[in-house]
Amino acid sequence: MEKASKTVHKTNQQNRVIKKLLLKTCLWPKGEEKKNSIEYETKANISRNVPYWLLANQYKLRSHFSTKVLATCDEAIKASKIKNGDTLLAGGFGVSGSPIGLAHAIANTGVRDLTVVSNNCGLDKWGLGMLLNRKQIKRMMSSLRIFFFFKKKGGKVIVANVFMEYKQLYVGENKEFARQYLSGELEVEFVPQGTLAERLRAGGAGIPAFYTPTGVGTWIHTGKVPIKYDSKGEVEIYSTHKETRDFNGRTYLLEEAITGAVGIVKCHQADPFGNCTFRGTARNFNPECAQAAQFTIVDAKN
Amino acid sequence: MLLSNTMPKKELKFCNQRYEFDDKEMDLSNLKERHKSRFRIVKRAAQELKDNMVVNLGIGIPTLVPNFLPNNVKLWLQSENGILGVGRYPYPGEEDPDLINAGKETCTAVKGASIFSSSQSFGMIRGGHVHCSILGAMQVSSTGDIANWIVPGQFVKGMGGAMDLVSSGSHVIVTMEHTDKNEQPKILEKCTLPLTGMQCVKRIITDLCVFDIKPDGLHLIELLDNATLEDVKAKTGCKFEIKSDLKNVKVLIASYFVLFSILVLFFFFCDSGNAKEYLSQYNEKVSTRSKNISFSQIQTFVEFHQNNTKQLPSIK
Repeated sequence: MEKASKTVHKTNQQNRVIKKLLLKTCLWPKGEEKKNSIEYETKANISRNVPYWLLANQYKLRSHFSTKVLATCDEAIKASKIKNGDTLLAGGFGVSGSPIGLAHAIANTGVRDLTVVSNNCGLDKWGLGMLLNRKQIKRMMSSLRIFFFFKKKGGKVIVANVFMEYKQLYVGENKEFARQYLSGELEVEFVPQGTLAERLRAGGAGIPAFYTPTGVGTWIHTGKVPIKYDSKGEVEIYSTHKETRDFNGRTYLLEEAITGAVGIVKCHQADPFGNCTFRGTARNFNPECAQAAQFTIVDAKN
Repeated sequence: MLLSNTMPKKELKFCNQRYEFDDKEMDLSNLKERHKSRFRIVKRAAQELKDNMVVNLGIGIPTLVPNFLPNNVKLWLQSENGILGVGRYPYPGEEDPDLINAGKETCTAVKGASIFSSSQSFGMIRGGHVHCSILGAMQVSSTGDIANWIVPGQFVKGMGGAMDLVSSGSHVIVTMEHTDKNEQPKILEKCTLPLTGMQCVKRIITDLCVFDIKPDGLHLIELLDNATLEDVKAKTGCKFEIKSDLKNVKVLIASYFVLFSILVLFFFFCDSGNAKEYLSQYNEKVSTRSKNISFSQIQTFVEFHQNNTKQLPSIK
């Protein structure tokens, strides 16, 4: 029993720290707000109800913090140990919910040959567009609900900013993206938005692949979407042909899950335990990216 | 899912920023022909939607559709980025960067709307829980294939959520102009552009007519306004069957007629003696009603209101 009392004493000390934190962060149920001591701390209760070692383990679990709270984006990116050739999962739909500060911090580290998975690629020289501008991205996986037009004049590719009607509405315009894609500096893999979301979700949920009806009979199925152009403007790499299977008289495509080394997420509020809340439609791809990545960084600056 | 019928219609009505086709400001004589044709498409497409439907609208012409809904119809608009219950556009000063629709425009949420993540919203679409989706297109084939995401060598639009919407098996309606800018047909035997989906379109609404797509091919159901059969035959790139009881629906001309008839009735009414008597009676009623409320009554009401507001606890 002596050993047991020692461990309980230690855990009590740890618990006091946790309790202070909890009182600050969490809302207690009514009537328990002003209680100074938690019931299960006393020896009598432990001996009466539960074997002490079980409780000691519980304390250990509670006192274990896997998350760190850091002041700046640069520190967080350093802690992630991101290296050349990693895959980066970034949340955000257009401007809302996109982790801009973290993207800029990654751009400052000078990491190269990244494959970035995101619905769209920021704006010109801003957000993920900054990574593009410094040519740190090797491959981009996106669905891109963006208009960009291009014309060929005398062998040179000119990105024309047409569609003036939509100019005000579409904030996600990125000329640099189109230029790099057409001149062969960037590989782009077009993924339908629904399958992109589901592939990320599957990656987080531990499902290696799944069947979807989207894109049957299109270039996505037959593998004719150009991923990379060469310098002459001809296609160098095409997308892969996808397996099919019939269920109940309908054909479905096999899509593989996406997982990544680092995930960057923008949220509204976060606590030191790693719980996040999102505001409005800023939720979009953020929870999926957080689940599918091995190391996720959350930007809770507002 | 919660469905409430008590929602006021104002909340669901879209006010569009680009084209001001509000009923009050509508002046049809000044519209250009291109705008007229779009207006015709939108008005016809609004008739397709029924009460309590969950609808997904594409970008462009389909966003105008909720402006012309009949009075008894209330919709649930779904947006791919994760809202069910998109409302009107915000007034200046009301915009919120964290509330946007699939077109990345700021929007508002209707009372009772729900917000979820992208994977869940596409689960909703793929699972067939969206009743109807209205899309624009560059080409449609007679078997129901649709193409609208890439023109090789000219532009890439990106498929976005269109590919998922189209292949979900829901009721897909295509709204588009009958021919492109070079006056070449958009409805073809087989699409020349890369496809977005195979055998998925159920109905096509153009500025000339309405087509139904069935397993045996195209069927012409309606002709809109002054369109003739010969005109439609010349401007479509494939054969189609004509329904035996072909309707000639008047979309724009009907509204002309209504305006005209109202004017005629107004003049008629003013001239006749009965109307004048009625008007005078009405005026008397109104005046007596206002007279009945004395000044003291108003004063007591105001005082009562002020006292009550004081008693209310402050929010902080």
